[in-house]
Amino acid sequence: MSRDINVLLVDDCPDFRALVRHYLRQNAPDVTLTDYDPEVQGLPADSFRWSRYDLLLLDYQLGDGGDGLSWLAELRDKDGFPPTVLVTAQGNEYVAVRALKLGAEDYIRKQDLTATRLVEVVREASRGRSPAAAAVPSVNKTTLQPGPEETVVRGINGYRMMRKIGAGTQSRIYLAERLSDDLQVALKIVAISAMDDEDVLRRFEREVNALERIASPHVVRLFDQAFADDCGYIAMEHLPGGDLRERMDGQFDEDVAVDWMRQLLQGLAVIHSAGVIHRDLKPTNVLFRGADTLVIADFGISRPIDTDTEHTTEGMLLGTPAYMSPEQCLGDSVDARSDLYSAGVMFVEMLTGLRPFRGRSVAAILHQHVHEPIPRLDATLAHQQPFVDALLSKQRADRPATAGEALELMQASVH
Amino acid sequence: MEVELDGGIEPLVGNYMTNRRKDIAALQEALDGADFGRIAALGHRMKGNGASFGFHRISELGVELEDAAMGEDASAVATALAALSDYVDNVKVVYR
Repeated sequence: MSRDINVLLVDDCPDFRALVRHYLRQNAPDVTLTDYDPEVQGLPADSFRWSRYDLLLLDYQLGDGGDGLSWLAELRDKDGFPPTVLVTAQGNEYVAVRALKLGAEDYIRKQDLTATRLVEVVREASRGRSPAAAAVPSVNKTTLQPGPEETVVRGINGYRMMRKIGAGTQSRIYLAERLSDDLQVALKIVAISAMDDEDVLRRFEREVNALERIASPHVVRLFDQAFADDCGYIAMEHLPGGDLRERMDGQFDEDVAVDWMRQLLQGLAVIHSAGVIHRDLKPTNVLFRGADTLVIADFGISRPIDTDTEHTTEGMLLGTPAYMSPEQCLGDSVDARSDLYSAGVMFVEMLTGLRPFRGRSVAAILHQHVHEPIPRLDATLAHQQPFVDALLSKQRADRPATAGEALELMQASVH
Repeated sequence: MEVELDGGIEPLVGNYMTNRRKDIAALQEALDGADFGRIAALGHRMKGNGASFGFHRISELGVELEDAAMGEDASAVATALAALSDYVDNVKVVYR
């Protein structure tokens, strides 16, 4: 039986404390939050029972109460002191580095805070301290033992680690600075122990190979890749503009949807010309450079076209159900037209705010991709229906053969 | 002026705007007393809480207030304060 995760929030702003409480109450009922107003309560006394908390969310500037980093330096050696996440409005990487050097687990900018991000940070940072957090199956511990964190503590030669910005089952992604020129990069790290699993190693190599072959403003740039003592790493372009999912709260203006779909197809045209199929196109794998340049990322399960005539890994569906083509759902071979199907699903979501196929279970969604008719768009978007129908055709032979053909077809649909 | 916010935080927004009106009164009082430390602290707080609620304009004005106060520039504080007051009085919130 797991117990609640106990979180202590130290912040001088009542509105921010109310927001955090609201987000956790709505989205993580197993988290118990305790407020602490540093302006009123001051620095906790020596008798403060830190062991009651699984996580400390600590504001950087505590109003008249002082400075969160000074608090961390003074308190971190206390008995039972919990993992700490620094919360700040500063948005300053220098502050982030100082916090991590003082032992903070992570760093969140207040302007980046969403309910999803907050819950993710709370669960991740309190992992290992709280049985409840440890029970959350978001990370496959067997494939992460020992995890890449051990390597990160020592650092990767040539890079200065700043903060964790993402995680997968076999990898961690850090914001890092290249020492030679201070370039900020997204450093994806996979532990060598995880690569004992041949499939993990193959995916790492595929991602590197795919990125090395592709040069497009609409594809994430690769700067460097290598194997260090106990990990493999890929230094990629850092894209802080967020992903398409974050911008998909509701439907867009049609012009915006069309513009972003055009950029997506332009990126796919280059990827496919380089002989690579992405195979996992979805909004979280589509990032932004600046405000409006769309960039395709995460080639972790991509494959060269000429080796993809066989079925996917035995018994495994690779991809994300909501965006998978019928042939992927059936475990058949995939080709460039499978990526076009996924792009079509995203286009419908951009136009309408809803994915074309939704269900209560993975099986239900897969069934719909394979068997259900393509949903009809509203009358105001009817001119886009032929383009959507082409991309979402159940039979790949009925889809455009290339991203270039899809672009031409889209152009014909613009009214 | 219109701002689109996450519908999930609707129950908090009324209180949030009430607190900004209190901040405006406190800022005016601090400006009258040339208490730039207080203005900087209030501006800094708005910088953080504005964007976290989705009121990015309030964050921008918080930055302006904090910067102006750090430079002890009463005129710039007054300008930012007037803009904040105008925004709080006129912003229309829609929820998505």
